[in-house]
Amino acid sequence: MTERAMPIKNNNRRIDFKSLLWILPVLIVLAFLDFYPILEGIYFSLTDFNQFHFFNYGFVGFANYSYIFGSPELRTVIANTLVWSVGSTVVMVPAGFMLALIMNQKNLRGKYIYRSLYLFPWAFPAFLTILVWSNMLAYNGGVVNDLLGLVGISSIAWLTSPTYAMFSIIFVNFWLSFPYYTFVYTSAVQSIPNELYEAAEMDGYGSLRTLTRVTLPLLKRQVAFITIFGFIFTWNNFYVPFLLTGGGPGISTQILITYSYLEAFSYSNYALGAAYAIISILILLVFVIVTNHYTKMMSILY
Amino acid sequence: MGSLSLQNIGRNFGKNKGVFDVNFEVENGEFFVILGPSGCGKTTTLRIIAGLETADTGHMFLDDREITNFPPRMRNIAMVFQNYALYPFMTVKQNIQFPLKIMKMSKADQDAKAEEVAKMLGIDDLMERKPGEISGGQRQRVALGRALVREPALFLMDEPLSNLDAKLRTQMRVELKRLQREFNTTTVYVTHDQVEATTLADRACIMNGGRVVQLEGPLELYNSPADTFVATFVGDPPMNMIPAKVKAANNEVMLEVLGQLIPLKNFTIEEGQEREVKLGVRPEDTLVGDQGIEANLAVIQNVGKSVYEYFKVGDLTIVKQDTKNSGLVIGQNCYLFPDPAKLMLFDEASGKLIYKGGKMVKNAPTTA
Ligand SMILES: Nc1ncnc2c1ncn2[C@@H]1O[C@H](COP(=O)(O)OP(=O)(O)OP(=O)(O)O)[C@@H](O)[C@H]1O
Ligand SMILES: [Mg+2]
Repeated sequence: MTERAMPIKNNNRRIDFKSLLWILPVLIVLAFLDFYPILEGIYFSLTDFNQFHFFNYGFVGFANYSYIFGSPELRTVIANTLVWSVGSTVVMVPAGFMLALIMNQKNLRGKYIYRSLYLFPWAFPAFLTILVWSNMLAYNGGVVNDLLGLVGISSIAWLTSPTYAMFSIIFVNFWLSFPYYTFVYTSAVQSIPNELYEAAEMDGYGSLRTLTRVTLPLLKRQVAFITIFGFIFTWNNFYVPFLLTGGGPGISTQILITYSYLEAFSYSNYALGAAYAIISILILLVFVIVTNHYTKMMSILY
Repeated sequence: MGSLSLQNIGRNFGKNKGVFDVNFEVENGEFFVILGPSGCGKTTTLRIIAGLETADTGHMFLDDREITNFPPRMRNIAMVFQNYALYPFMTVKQNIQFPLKIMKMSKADQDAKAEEVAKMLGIDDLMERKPGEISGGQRQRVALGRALVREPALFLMDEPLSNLDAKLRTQMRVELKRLQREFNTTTVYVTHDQVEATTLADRACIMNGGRVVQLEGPLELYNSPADTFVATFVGDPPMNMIPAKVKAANNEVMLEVLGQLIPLKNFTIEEGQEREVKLGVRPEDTLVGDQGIEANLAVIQNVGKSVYEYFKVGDLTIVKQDTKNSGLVIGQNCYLFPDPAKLMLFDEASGKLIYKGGKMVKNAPTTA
């Protein structure tokens, strides 16, 4: 008994300082990529760094934040960001999933051709696509309005009316992004062994029931991860609103990231821009922690 | 219950791959085994029966109802897949109940049914676990349970024991046979393991290159193989195959094998003629004597209940099996001869069995 009570020295737990050397490069890269910019950003957001104090900016505490929280724009911009992110995510991620399911059907002929074709627009430089769409959606002479005219519908100000602008940027973003989600889901769908489908088929499950009882539960984690990732990515997707509407008309399509840019580089109020960016990051952080708590989606990364 | 009939079933994958002209009948309640080497078309045949693969040719009947073009779900057939195909996110109970979920059956009935099947399989204490939390043998039982719970007309099993270790496999073999008797469900069982075939099967068919080469009771496959393929496939170690010649001269019929002449009774051959054959001798029918084929003992394998001795004769290796050691030492020369009552002769060209048990086989092919 006494022998068993003796503590066993655990050599595995000892920190070997030589091995720290091996993770040093990773730490250095992380420091440059992550820690430095973030810390610098946080620091800027606590200063009065702007056009007027370019060389002699100083620490101002939470002044920028209290200004932002007091400004009427914040609510609109956050609401816009939510509409933009949720709106894009709920169409592009399921569309990608559905297309992946369709593309992976056992008996589909010409799979490889479709796969290359649907990746093509995604491989195309996004800003060119956005330019094309911006022309197509133009009020005067845009293809979309011309086509509507043919069926007797009067022209719509797709990009220049507050009612339609948000819808338009979400639509273009959807058009631009869903091939990517198809691609991502394809590998998830392909990871399911065929026998699982065949067993269900023999038991009498039709395709819809197989989807809800087999495919979706099997891909629960992946779906959660891809959806949340899609949401975060869209939240920070600067391209589409900036190039298509520039946040307008008014601030009706301004999202946090474009607004931060606007403050920083159009009004040269770098500190305020940084503060907006930090607010955006903090909201996302809370979002990720909460969703991960419920979905455990991060576990697919380990 | 259910009787199955396959008529001229074929599925061509091209390049001579697939299954061709498969015919067999499985009677109600029968345990039917499809045996054959890897790639011979066993799985394809089973998948055609299940409806997961479509047949290019032929017809299929289940209880006199043609099911050739029925979708899988209309066939009332359950299949146990080689890798079990259990749903990892469901508990054992949910997996077993999966086929019932889609039937019009009350929750209480589903529970009772799953419980009953699980008891019978000895997995009723695992019901709330996930497939990832139980052993391979237990998973195997769950897969069986999922098939049993449906009470299908026909069971299909694709090498269901191949992922288990040797001991568990023996145990599950006994279990499977017991279950099949208990449920009395017609079963088509695929394996490449001839021991499994002989212990389980009421009847077995052997496939090779997509064709059925012999269909018989498992013992007949061993005792009267239709051709050299079956002869060497069934039995372990395989039957010794030695090139030989039948000669009829001076009113005597002799088998000339490796320079030795052995008198042959009842072999139909014209005086003065010769015929190329393959001599087939089972290891247990290989005897050591004072005269015969000169051989040199190379390897001795003693596995307890039997002793295998491997002899070299020129380039050939001849195996002899006995319950005890022959007393020879490695490197020693001796004389081997086949038990004349047991030796088999196969046609050189077609490989078909022509002579067995001291007489010609009925309808044996004559000289080509
Ligand atoms: N979908 C398919 N397309 C093309 N060829 C196929 C297909 N399925 C099987 N084959 C080929 O048909 C032959 C028979 O395959 P099958 O799977 O039926 O063999 P098997 O007897 O089950 O072998 P094993 O013991 O290795 O499982 C093989 O040569 C295989 O390569
Ligand atoms: Mg197989």
